[in-house]
Amino acid sequence: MSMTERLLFWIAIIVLIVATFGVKGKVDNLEKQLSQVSQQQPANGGNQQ
Amino acid sequence: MNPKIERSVYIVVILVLAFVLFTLGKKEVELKKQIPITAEELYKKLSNPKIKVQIIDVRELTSSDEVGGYEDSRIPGALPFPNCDESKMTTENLKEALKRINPYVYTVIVSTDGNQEIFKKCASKFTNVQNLAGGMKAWQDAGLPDDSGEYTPPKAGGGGGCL
Repeated sequence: MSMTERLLFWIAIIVLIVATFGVKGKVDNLEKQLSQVSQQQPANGGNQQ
Repeated sequence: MNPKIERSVYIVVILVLAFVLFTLGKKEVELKKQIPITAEELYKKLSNPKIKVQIIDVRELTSSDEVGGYEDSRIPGALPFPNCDESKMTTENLKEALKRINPYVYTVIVSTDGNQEIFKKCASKFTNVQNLAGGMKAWQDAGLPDDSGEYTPPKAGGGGGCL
């Protein structure tokens, strides 16, 4: 396996890892927002929507 | 290491990472569906030309209530889709609007007051969708710009932008 091929594989792996962490951050943020929304709804008598 | 084995290891690692990314992406879309977007957040998104947002207004065309119908007051650029029901899209304008609805674009559903029932009905028709919290009433209460009148398709080359 040539060095170029190895380098391309590593670039792909790094891009995927960075993207995964990015999306994981967004998901965590959304989960936090969702728990806040679900806490607010009973406080408002569940008729906010 | 044998080049064939080494290549296989790299490919397996890439496939695993791609699968994890895909799963997380799906989870993100599902979570977004459950969290309504506020009128201010939507306005910010609409003001950013880099973000493509499709607004679907599910109210009736005209209404005598305080908020009004689609033709009385709507978010600029919103497409009419009364009650998310294709059978109601009978006039030429509405048929034209129906043709423009893209189920694969990030979509915000606008109802009178952010009703969850109608949102759930519509959400099944779009892949990436959010509800407008408080609906058109919240948009009006926030004093954000609105539009009125019959739906007219944008002219060719004119774009569908609004704000």
